[in-house]
Amino acid sequence: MTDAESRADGDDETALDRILEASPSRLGVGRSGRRPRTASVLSFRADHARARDAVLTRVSEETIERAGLHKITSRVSDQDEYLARPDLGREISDATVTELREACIHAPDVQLVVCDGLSSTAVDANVGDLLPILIDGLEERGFTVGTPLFVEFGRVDVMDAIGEELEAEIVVNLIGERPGLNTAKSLSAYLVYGPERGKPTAKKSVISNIHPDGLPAIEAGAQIVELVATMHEQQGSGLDLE
Amino acid sequence: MATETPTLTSVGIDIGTTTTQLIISELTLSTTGLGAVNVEIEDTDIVYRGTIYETPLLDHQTLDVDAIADLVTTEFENAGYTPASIDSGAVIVTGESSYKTNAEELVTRIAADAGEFVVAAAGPELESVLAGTGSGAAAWAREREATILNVDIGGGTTNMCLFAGDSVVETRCLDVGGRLLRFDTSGTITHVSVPAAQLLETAGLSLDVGSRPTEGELHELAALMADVVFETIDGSGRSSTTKALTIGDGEYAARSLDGVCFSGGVGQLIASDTDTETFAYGDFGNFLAAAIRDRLESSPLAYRSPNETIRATVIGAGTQTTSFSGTTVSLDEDVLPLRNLPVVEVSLAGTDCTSLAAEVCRQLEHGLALHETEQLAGLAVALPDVGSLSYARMQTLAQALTQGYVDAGYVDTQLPVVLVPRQNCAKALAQCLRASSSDLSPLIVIDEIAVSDGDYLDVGEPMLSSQTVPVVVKSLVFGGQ
Amino acid sequence: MTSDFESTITGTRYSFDSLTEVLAKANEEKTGDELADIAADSAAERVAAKDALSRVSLATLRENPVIPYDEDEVTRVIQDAVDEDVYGKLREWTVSELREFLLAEETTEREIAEIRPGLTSEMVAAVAKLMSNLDLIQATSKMTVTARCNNTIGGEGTLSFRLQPNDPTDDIDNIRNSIREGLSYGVGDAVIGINPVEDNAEQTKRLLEITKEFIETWEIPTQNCVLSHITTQMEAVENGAPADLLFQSLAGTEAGNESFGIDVELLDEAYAFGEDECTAAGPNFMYFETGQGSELSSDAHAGVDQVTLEARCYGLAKRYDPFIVNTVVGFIGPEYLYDGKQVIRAGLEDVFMGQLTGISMGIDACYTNHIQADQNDIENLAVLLTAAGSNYFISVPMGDDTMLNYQSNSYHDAAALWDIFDVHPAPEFESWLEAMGIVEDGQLTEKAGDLTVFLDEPEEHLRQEGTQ
Repeated sequence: MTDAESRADGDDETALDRILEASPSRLGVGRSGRRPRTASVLSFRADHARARDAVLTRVSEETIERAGLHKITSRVSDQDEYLARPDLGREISDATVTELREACIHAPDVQLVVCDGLSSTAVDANVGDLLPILIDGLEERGFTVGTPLFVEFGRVDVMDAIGEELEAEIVVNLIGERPGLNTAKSLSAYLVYGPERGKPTAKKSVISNIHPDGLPAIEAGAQIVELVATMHEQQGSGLDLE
Repeated sequence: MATETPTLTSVGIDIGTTTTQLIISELTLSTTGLGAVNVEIEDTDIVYRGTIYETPLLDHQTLDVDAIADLVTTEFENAGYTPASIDSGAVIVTGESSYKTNAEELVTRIAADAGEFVVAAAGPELESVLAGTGSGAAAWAREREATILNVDIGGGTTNMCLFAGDSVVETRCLDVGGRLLRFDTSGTITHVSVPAAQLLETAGLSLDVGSRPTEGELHELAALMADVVFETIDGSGRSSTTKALTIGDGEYAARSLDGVCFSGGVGQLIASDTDTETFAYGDFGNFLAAAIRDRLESSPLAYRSPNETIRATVIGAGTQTTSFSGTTVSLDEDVLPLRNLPVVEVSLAGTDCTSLAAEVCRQLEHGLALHETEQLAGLAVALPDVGSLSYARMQTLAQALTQGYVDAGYVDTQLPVVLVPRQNCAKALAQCLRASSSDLSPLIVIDEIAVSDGDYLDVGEPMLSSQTVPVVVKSLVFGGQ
Repeated sequence: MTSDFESTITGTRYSFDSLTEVLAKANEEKTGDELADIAADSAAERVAAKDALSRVSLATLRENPVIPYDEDEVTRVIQDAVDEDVYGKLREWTVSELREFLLAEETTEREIAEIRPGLTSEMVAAVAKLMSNLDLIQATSKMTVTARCNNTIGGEGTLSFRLQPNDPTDDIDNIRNSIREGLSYGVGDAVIGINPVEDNAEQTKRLLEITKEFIETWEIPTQNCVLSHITTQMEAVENGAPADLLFQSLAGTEAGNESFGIDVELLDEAYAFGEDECTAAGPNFMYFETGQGSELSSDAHAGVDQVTLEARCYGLAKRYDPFIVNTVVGFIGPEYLYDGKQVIRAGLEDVFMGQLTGISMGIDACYTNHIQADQNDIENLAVLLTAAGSNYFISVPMGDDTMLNYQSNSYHDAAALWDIFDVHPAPEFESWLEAMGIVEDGQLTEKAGDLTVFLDEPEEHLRQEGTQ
């Protein structure tokens, strides 16, 4: 068997170029015998490394500070536990509840929460642009905005516990999505009206795929403002919305 | 994700050199993608294929507008539709008809009659693309990542469009068609068009109105026309005859073709493969078709059967002229739809708010000066590149735009402010504009649409729960000059 | 008071309250059982549970289903399917004896086929818990379960692949090109199956149509499938969509299936519908997917461990004589299968249990980016399961599924596994690959790996003449 048997010398190169350009999948990667070419393997590994790092590294203190977020932690104590115990990532300790009551605005119209979720990279990449336009947009529409929080080791539903404790009307949770190989920067926004523990997922609204190659952070921010206004008007979220 | 599958009813009307026809189709829309969602036409169902009429003329220079309007009315009745039920579509004047003195008046009137959101269109380039879309060549190229040339030969012109994969590479247009010469039933010439006279001269044939050419002379002339067509298909080394009949610059890309597809009335004759050799249509089409078939047989070109021939352009017009904005838009919906908005392009380079505002002001003043305010529904300001999609940048742009609109006196006109950024930032920009000033009202911001200076834009009523608006970008070119 | 289930094998006495507890604690370590709070507390307790389980008779397992007969229709399906005569001969066996029967030199597929009708899913799960990884491979390698749709898979010496050309926007051209790429590597004989972005009948119909058209144009001996909800597929087929296979995800409890929007009545209806409406030759036309942990994720596990629940999925699947059943082993997340070691163990268990149940079993050897695993782990798993004789694997371009955002085996892995183990695609499909010039005498040709081979029309259609 010859080495480096590649399709790259095919007679239809321009068509192939167009195909590779259009598809997000790893097409036309060629082969070396029955295995992929070296460059294909390394590029795959590089993307996986980025995805793993997004899961395993923490959101930078700089991001949290610059965005003016008050940091709390879920009941999870470390990364291993975070991955294995989603139930703990949805809850906050009694001490944290006390802290929230003392340090945060009570009963705001809108409580903003940022969670690392499964991608710290997503938080680092998007929150800096998203939060300011979101906060300004909400305030321009006359909503009171609570003390923005960062939850370390947070899952989506931690918003229910926080919203219930702070008696917020609406909670917005900006959380890092499980990274794919195409991007590790993807953030989702979950919104709930009338938060309470155990609120089913179907009663939550979501705007997903927020990243530079998807929905830009600023556009997502403006979109969340409009969705909050709709939720406030219709007094519901998720399936309760028309 | 939305699970509704919205449909649009779309009309296509083609007023060509020889024939006038109308089709009605139901377009099924689909949204694809997450976050940055695209709206596309997923499925096209042609629900009505109208009668093919001879285009009514008052004389060789003038279209019979009233008769054509009557045809359209009759066709709507036959189809069981009213203009009020039409959501989109296009009226296109094609071939020699677009040279007629009253072509612009015609399409504008028919478009207005045919429905709220039906657009007028003309121009050989657009015609070429629509024909290649309607014939099925575009889909064939896209599905197989192939390079294919669609050659639409009508009565007055030949319009070629080169498709490679999902892109249009270029168009090639000729003053060659089946009706450059017309005959009565006895075979006596009743009309010789200007391009035909040129060809006769090249061929050394002294034929004119009143002559009765021999079959040999007709074959000779047809062979000469076929030469012109095949030289243009080849794209290189064109003779002076071909150059003289070429519309546009004639600079073509060198591409090897995976196939060639013939549409139009002559395309139908090529496909039908029956040598009637008569003057069944009172014109030259059968001779031209036979000459092209001869050439094809000795050519290495792979012939692709078209899905549509004589109806290719009208189907293209009825199904392909509408596009859709990005799904995050910001709309003061009360002012929609808006039609015939001249597009003014503003380049937003740099970070200095004052100079950005000055540029906005300059382009708006220019746009306002070109059009009479009473006849203007508004100017659409195209923003090809807003720069980085950061909040700070949006705020700067909002200030600069507000200042520019005020300085240019646009705000005083009470016209709607229509902004068309290329990037996905409509809601963000609109939020910043509203925060910056209440002067810009009513405000329409739609994104992810490519428009440029000189285009005209129609913006339809919002669809999919106000997530998107149908948009038609028009480039009106009359007279081929 | 002494328990029926106890052990002193580690030097300490452990006793267990119920068979369900023994089954759970006898499992190899899995985060899902820990999350459900039913796992062994220590390595010693785990071994004690295995020891206790080894002495349990098959009759005890039969008579004590993990969810009572009256409370769960999956239990009823499994129990009602038991052949009482065969069971009568096995009922005194212990789980230990069943393990040793399966591993005995003289036991072949023929002997195993004879006992299958007497087994319940609890017995199948129990014996898996007493087996090491190599035990599972050895036992699986004896079993041959074939199934026939438009081709035959699972035959001796074959290894098939699902070609999974997913696209994050369901872009038709991207999907077609991924199919071309896969075919050029020789994969696609198990099924050309797409996970659609949106679960609606229009989109399902459209994707079924384009896959069917591609298959017919190139005369490919395989089957198409779009993996939307079963009711969505039925609606699409009613609207004229051509489907060779009908797909559905299964759970091992009635409550779990309820969360998937299905029950036995609906599956029966779908099966009857498919008999009349599927475009394939058959007789097997159902495609099911399962995966350890799915019942717990919908809070429908009823306190039962994830291996036993997985076996029950297979017991349910068997009712419909499926063409393929697929365990999606590393997709669900680290809270169920923590790392590569747990994924590999689950993959070996599942394929073994599926084949012992008597269904055409294969696997999506995969991982998400938040699980402690990488491509090396699933390449290992693919090698182990090719040795064991899995009927098929899932394959995606370079192992990267850009729609589901996870990684599985690459199209390349197929060619490598065929070569290393001297196994082949389904015979009809291999002949087609030879006719296409992609494979010649078992070797890849220059055309292999070149998707542009499938860009043109097949030769005879290339130059068309005449009318339209």
